[in-house]
Amino acid sequence: MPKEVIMPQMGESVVEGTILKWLIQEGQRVEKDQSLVEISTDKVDTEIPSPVSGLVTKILHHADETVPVGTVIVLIEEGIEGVKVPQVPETLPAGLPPKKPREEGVEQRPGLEKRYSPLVRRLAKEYGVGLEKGDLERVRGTGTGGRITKEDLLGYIEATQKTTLSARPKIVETKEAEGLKEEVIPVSSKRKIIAERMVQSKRTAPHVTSTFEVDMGRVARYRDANKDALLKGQGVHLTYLPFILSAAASALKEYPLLNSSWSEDGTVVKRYVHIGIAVSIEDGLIVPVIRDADRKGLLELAKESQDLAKRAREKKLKVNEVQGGTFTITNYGIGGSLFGTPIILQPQTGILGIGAICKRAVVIEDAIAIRPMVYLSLSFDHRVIDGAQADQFLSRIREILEGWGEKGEKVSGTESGFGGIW
Amino acid sequence: MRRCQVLNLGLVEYGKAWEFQRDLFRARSQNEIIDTFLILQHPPTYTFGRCSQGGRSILSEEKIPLNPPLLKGESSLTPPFRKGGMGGFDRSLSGEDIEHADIYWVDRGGGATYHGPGQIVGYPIIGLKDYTTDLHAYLRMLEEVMMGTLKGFQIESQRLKGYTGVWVEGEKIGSIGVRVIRGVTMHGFSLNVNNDLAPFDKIVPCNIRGVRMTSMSRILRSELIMSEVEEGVTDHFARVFDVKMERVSNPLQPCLV
Repeated sequence: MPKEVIMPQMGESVVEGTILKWLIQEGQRVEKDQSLVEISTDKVDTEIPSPVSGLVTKILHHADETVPVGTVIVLIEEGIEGVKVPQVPETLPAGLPPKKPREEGVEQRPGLEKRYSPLVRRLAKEYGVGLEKGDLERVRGTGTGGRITKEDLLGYIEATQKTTLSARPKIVETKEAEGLKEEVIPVSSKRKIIAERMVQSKRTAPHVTSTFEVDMGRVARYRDANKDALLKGQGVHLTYLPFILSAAASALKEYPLLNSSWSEDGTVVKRYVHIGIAVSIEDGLIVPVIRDADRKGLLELAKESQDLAKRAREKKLKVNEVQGGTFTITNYGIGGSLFGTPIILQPQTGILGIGAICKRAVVIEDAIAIRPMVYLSLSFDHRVIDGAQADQFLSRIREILEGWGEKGEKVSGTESGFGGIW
Repeated sequence: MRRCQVLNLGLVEYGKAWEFQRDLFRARSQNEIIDTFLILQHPPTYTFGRCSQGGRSILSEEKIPLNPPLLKGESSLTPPFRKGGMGGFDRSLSGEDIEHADIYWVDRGGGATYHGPGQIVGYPIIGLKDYTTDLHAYLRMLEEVMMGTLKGFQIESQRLKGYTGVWVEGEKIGSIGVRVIRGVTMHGFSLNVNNDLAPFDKIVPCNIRGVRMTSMSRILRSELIMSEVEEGVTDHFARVFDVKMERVSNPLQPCLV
């Protein structure tokens, strides 16, 4: 039986606590009294020490969650030696030998050169954080043995870049004559971040965009048949997005190179499918992520995308909900655009743009028919794949969508009761 | 009776004081020093605690996205996450008065606050278990220190249920934000004495929108002598925590156990 660690009763009037930050991760060995998590209640921040020495088997509540006192938040298997779980599992390139067990303490010894994971080294290079300049020495590692994780480095980069930004001189006033007809709008920090990311993506990855036209007739029929019942029964608006999400998730499983990241050490293929959906918000864009989209049915995808989009607009997303995407979908069709050439969200390989779904006259077996058509545009990183693979991927998406319902596509046993083919 | 050393540091830049706190915190955790009470003032500084809602404080009118999109929002624990001048705050924190304020994200509970000259700041670095094991009881004790002090100056103050801090007729005069790790405390409270209140308008103090701040000098309509109020705070700290206060002449050499 693993030891259950609960949100402690920190005071008579304390009924709940908020998890600020986990200091450990699943699969890590912890010593008795080692701090596990930072928590907060009212005006007090504190930490929960581990009651036993052992192995962290399961973290049950994430950062930012507020849970009642007495709630089990983490499980620790007493006495077990730590199993070496890869520090950053998603970045282990496929086919690479497993990481060597870490020599604890080596990184801490002064005089010896510090060791960084390939991912950290690559990111450091990408962002110009110099190994030789000793920049990395200043990053505080939160991994085991003070090891620097990807998150540590990104946090550091964010912090330092902000500092650099603030140190820059203010925008020079335009000349008076022109000044009357021009206006300088100060750039918000959100805008700055978006700008930097866009430039960085275009600079890093050679973008190619390929466009397919898809007949959404079957999807439309399916949608029409189910949407009212869904709205009434579940309060879910069944849009076209979840269908495309579902098709893309299946296609990503079949063409895993589209679900990968380029790295100096090799192409990192991810065996999980986390699809981000770009949501436009005031003065910017945010990309909440649907985790394990390939394992979710249409209803779940509809619910989740609706919920994420809603909370994105209300600025209520949690940090972990905008991280870890492996592929992105952007739905610019909402604004009427037929097709676009979206910019890849680094370090992913592809982004799928959905155009407006319009009824068009199309030729089917030498007859002219009216069909709801959509252009799906895939921008991909030409370092990772070539046009042939991209088009196979798009073909597969088209195939799934055009054949929707035909073969009981996307049947999910857990969601029966809606038209019989959920 | 337990002993507690008092270090009156005068006006100290926030980052320096924070570093000093951390040193003392470490020393206290390892039982190298006895309980210590720092009493000081800061130059104009905004600090943002890791308030429970979303982990970040909100600036007034929410003009600044403190949780930028697509980026990891957490950075507060890598000390000291400092932004000089107006860094990152170009829109909301404009105005000359703030031009020179420092800004820190801090590892304490609570939301945003402002510190400035004329405000008394108290940082107890103490082994809390000797006094209470109830974290909220500790908050009530710190409130009591401030309330007792105010009473000594004929100011009646109150607690407001659900809103930790000290209030005078619905206006906030004393704020609290602490960190307790393994039973040792750091950070603490701030009491508005003579300080300018205008800088509070630029933030949402303690996550309470529309809160009005007040100060002892505003209530009494005259400037107070800081050392007298400091005396009061020290005395009431001794009373509430039932300790014997030992003034340290050279604050940079805290006495050992």
